[in-house]
Amino acid sequence: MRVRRPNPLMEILRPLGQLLLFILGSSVVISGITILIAVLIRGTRTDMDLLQITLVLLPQVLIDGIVLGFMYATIALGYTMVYGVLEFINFAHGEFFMFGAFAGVELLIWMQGQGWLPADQSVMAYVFLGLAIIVGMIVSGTISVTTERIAYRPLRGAPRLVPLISAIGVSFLLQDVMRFYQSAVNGAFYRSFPTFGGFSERITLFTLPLDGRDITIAIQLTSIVIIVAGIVMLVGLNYLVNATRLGKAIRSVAQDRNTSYLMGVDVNRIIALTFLIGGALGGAAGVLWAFRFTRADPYMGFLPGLKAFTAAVLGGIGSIVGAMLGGMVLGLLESFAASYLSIFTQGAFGAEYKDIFAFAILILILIFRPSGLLGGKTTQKA
Amino acid sequence: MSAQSSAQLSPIQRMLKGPLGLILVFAISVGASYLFVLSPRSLIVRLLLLGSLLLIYYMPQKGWIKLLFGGVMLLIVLPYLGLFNPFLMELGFQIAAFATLALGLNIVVGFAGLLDLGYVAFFAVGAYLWAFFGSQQIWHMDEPPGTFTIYPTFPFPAWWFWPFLIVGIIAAAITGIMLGFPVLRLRGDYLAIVTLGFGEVIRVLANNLDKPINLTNGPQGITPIQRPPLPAYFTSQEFLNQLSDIAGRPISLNDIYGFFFYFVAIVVLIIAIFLARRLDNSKLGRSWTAIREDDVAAVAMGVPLRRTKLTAFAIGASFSGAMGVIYAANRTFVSPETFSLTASISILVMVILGGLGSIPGVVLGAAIVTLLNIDFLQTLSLQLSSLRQGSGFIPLTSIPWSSLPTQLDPARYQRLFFGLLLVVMMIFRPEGIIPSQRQRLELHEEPVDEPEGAVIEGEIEPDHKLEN
Amino acid sequence: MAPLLDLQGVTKRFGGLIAVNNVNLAVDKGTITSVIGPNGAGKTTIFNTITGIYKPDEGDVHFDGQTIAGKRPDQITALGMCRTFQNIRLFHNMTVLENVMVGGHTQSKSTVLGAVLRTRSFKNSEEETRQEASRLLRFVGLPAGLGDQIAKNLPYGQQRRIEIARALASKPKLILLDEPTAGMNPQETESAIRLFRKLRDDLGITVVLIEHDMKVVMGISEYISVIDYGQKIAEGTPDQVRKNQRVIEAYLGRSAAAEIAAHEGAN
Repeated sequence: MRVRRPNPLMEILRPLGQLLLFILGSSVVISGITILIAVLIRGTRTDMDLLQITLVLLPQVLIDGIVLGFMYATIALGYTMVYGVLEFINFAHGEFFMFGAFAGVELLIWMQGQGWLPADQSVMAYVFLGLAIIVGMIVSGTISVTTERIAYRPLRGAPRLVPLISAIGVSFLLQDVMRFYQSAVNGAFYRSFPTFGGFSERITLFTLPLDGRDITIAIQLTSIVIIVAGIVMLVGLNYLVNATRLGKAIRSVAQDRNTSYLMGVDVNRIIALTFLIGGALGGAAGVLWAFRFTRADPYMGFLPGLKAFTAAVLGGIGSIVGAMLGGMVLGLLESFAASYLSIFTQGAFGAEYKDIFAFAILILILIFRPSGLLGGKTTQKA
Repeated sequence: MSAQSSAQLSPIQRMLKGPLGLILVFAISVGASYLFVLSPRSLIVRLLLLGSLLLIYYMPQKGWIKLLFGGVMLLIVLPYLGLFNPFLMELGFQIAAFATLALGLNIVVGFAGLLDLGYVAFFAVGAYLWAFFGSQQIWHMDEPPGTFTIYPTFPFPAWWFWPFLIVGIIAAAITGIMLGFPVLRLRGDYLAIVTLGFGEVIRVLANNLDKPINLTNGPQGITPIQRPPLPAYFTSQEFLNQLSDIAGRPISLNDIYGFFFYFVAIVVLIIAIFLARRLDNSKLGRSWTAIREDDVAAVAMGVPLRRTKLTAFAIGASFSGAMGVIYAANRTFVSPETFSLTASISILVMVILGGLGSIPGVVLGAAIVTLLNIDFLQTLSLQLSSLRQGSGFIPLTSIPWSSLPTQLDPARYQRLFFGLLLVVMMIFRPEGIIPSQRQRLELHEEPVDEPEGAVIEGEIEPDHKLEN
Repeated sequence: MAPLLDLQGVTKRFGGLIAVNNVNLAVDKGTITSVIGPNGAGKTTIFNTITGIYKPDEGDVHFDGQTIAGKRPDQITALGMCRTFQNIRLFHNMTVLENVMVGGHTQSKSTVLGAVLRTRSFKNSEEETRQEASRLLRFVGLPAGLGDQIAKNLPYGQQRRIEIARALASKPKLILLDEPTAGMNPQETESAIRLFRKLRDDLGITVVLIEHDMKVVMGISEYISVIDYGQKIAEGTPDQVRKNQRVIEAYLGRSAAAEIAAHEGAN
């Protein structure tokens, strides 16, 4: 590794640039392919103009995809960091995410009970939302570190499948612990995200004149908040890993655990910190997820978790930049599949197949390019 | 077992030694059976009865004696007791069915060391195969779910169940090979996630293939599915009356099918045990162990990796496919719900709880988990709900039972128990209750730090992969 | 007569690193050949490329009259070439006998169906494999009754011998031994050398060694190839190699070599 003094400003601008590049790049590529398909099969439908409807939907689909992409990317970071350090698929990461979501939602529900939450847009709404995100991060981070200590650390060095099976167990256990808690305390196992702060308001970006009608393209305030929060976290993590002493220790443990140990790095502490950071990011993503989809339930972590893992593999597991790219690509693909699959196949295959899409991508990537989009051949320690 | 010297016997086994032990086991079995006749609904007596089977397995006697004892219990005593409480046959059927599934998964995970988290997909293949051909679904393919009438006849007569049992085995094996072909070069943990994805894909397909052509009838599932025909004598009123006299309760045709499926499942389980043992104890079994221990060395000794792994996948899947066909006929109803990730994990829990790679262990694990699933938790739920009806209070608190939310029904917390079992087993006893000798050594092995160059190509880098 | 094993311009790269660079190597039938070179010179990579664990990026490998580059390791083993590993890779938790029986994989004719039905031919074939395995264990000089031991519980020297027995079970024409005497004491080394000779003299197997111990190399080899930085820098009989200037440099460094040369010149 080259010894260089990191330039703090560069460490902020570089990931920003990368993010912008990934968003633009994957948006253009995926939109291009979709429009091409629409042109090719335009003749198959007589009841509507496929190309026109494709174009009308496009901005909204893109925004949804990018929002989803930011959430996947944030969750994927947890997988990728743990994998980078331990070469271990933390199957329970989706449940850390779920705990974060519940923590945030519970806090906001409590605040609502106190009458603190403003109904309309105000600075305080952002403060409270930020507070919920931070509480979500703390809870998820704590659960993550505790899990590592109890269920993973004693199994370090055991055959590969042993900690993985333990992680599957933790995942199941946490789901039902939360279900039990919610059932016992609230009598129902899911919680709704309180409505406040006028976040559901839509901001009109522009209008498209089409066929004599004006199509308004708007973005929900929720989406903007998620995108901004996503950017802050991704850039922050990049800074932490690339420009701080702690980051250097994490990278050294990921490179070679034994040597780092000999060099005086407290490996156990670094691994715990990795779990803390990964879990906290997952928790933040959980609160944002509940914010976006307006509820938290004990099983909400499974699919996003699996997809975020797919995103991590897609980008090249172990690579932080890769997780951001993978998340973005997967979010966009899913959003496109959910919107266009049904239109293109005349309703034969609908949005239900969007989940299969992620798995199909995962299988294809693992078969043809297991090192991921960004992974060089040498990133993988086998 | 019988070859063990007395020094290696556990305290319980020492008690069961010699003719005296034989008499003791006999007495316990007879006692449990008698208690069952007295109170056929008691969970504790059911446990005692199954426990006596375990004692028969554990007693240090000659193999043929144990076989005789076990055979009489399974094929004569239990069915007889089933007359008094049909649930015993249902329990026996489910245990045997899941034990067969667990044995299949054990070939993949325990013998060959490939973690398959979507194993239930092969079960689904078998079940949906007979569900489709053994019901009227063929006639409903162009109708959306919930719109059609039930006809008096079926496209395939019921006896086709038997040929389809074979077709189910083959179809599941082919599915196993199709899945295995692209993914088996992946490393263990990646394989686990991909198989999990595959399991989900099968479930999503089952849920959604009600359009454009209605193949699976979507989330509503397919029903009615035919059961195989029985010889006329067993379904005659005269025979039913005879049984009713013995049982002291009316025996219906449904009960007869309960006995029938119990016997079918036991026979399939015995065949599965037989197959698993013989395969383990052969060149193929050695190759599986070799691959699990060190695939580089194995391939260098001439063991073809891909083919050997595929064989494990195919054989494991075929067990599952056979049980799928039987399960569809037993339930007369198949829906996607049965084939969830929880089902795959519960089978994995059976294998791990009993002991990876250990055939008796896996059967025991299946028995315990199935009991927990369909008997213990259900009984607990029933008890709780009867308490909820009453006016008592939760012990040590002033909360009345009646205020307990119904969402706390223990039967809904399978995942909690499975999760806990998995974590606890991995930390404290990864080799399971009845460990296989070799897995015990492997799972407690200190990690060997592999020097560079020991990395097999093709595990992760496809550019210069092993093309087998 | 064509050589039994013939490497022609074999190159193997890992990313930007050229581990093996355009190596030619010919091994005649019935010889004992050594491949030597400093640590990290690419010797084991050459072995891995020959046995199919790696595919050569360039060049060709011929064995027994056919090209084997691109074949799978198990196919190559079936053609009659087997190996041992530098860091012993026994199946740790299998018994010694089972280890050797896995080695007999390509020789055994038992089938899955035969295993299920326990046919006479299955029983015969299993018994044959077992007998052959015990015979090989005796041949490599292991005490009787070791067959039922778990492999990892045995001392290092015996594990090395088991690995050789396991390789022999595939009835190879050529055996590749990767540092077979590493970590042995002088007595053990002495008896290992006798075993390698026996492989050739009694079984007629062509032997290729990777070795560090110069006593072993010089004492046993009929032919030596020297590898450094992935390239073959010298080859010939032990005497030729011993006097080769580039070999001395590779092993001792340039300055030391110059010193020796000066010293010899002065004499």
